[in-house]
Amino acid sequence: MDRYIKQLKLNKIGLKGQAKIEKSKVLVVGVGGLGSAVLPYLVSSGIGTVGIVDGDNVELSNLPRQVIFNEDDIGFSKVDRAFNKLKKINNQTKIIKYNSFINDDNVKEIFKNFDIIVDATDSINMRYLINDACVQLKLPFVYGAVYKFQGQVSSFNYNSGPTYRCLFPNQEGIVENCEDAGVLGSTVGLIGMFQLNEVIKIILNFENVLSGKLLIYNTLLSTQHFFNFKKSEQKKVKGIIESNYISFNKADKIKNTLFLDVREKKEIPKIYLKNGVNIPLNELSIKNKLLKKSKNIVIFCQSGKRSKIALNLLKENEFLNLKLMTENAIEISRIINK
Amino acid sequence: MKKELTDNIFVNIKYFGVIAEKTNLEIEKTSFDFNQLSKIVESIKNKYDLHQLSFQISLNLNLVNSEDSIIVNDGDEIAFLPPFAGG
Repeated sequence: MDRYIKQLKLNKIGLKGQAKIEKSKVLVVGVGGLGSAVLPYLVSSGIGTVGIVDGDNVELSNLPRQVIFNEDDIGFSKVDRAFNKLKKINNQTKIIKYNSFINDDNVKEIFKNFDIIVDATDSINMRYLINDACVQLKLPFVYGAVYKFQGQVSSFNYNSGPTYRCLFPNQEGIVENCEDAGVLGSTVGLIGMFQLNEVIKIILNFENVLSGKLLIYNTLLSTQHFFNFKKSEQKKVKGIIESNYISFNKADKIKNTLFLDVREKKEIPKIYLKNGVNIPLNELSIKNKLLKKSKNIVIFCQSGKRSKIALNLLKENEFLNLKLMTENAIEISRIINK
Repeated sequence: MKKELTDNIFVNIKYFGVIAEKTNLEIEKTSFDFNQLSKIVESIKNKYDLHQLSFQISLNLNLVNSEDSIIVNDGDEIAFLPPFAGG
């Protein structure tokens, strides 16, 4: 116990608290900027089991904010490389790695092994997926998200409290991720620390968990704001995940699926699918006549923005069987080439 | 009971994330000659062309459904809260 002596000294933790920390199982979804901040501290604190899930490889442009990685890691699996580092930090923590992206097929299978889910992803779709799985499995979900120099933090579904859908019920509209909007390491680092703090508060049953409260931190102004929100009964998730989204693997198994790529012809990676067609968004208002309305049309693009606009455009043209793909083009190309 | 509005009301409006970028403001104090929240939100949406964006509305730090018939009082604070995606 020498190792944890400094946190044991805190009256609010003590031996009892440390025992709770060592018994807990925490899953971090996404090893990006937020995940890189949360993970070393989680493992260092003596958490019993830490799960990491991500299907990506390390890229050079990740390094300025994903500080768990270094130059030797470029091109290698994020979870493999993170696993090795975390093991060196604390060999007593059991680390479970999942080298894939979460989707509606695997999410509950993975989540059921944990007590707390930390959302360190970079897409809104993933947050709805995490939320719905957490509601069904009755797990608390610690949310963190960043937009340029601002970050949001909240703890959803804590003791059946308000969820992500109570805060943000609609999926419409355009939202940029870090790749599109740009981000600084200090911002994701700070928001990751707020998330870690929530995890510890939940494990130790502290008061004032950010349940029903949204924290927005502005790193440029050093200001923080809290907003209250209530559980909305209408947004209760019934049965299976209700959304406009479907994973590539699931859609591919449906017989009359047509994958619609709405990117420009020259964009890479090129995706060749025998049940796929490429109609750039700006040609879709004319060329939608080439599509059969009987098909189950699954739309994708580079980041998820254009596919949403395409979905609405096709809806206006009386297409009924429409879905958005959970994965973007880069993720699809990795799945196909695996 | 809706009160007739005789004087303009002044409202503090806070913008976050992509909305603050659109408005080019973090905060502003604006006067309105009507006091229904839905109308105020609509007028801000038109003023800054926010129709394409997704956000929630809070009134005095509590999230509300801006389509409900809610009356805003002089000195109240409204915030525009978009979801963030990055991580």
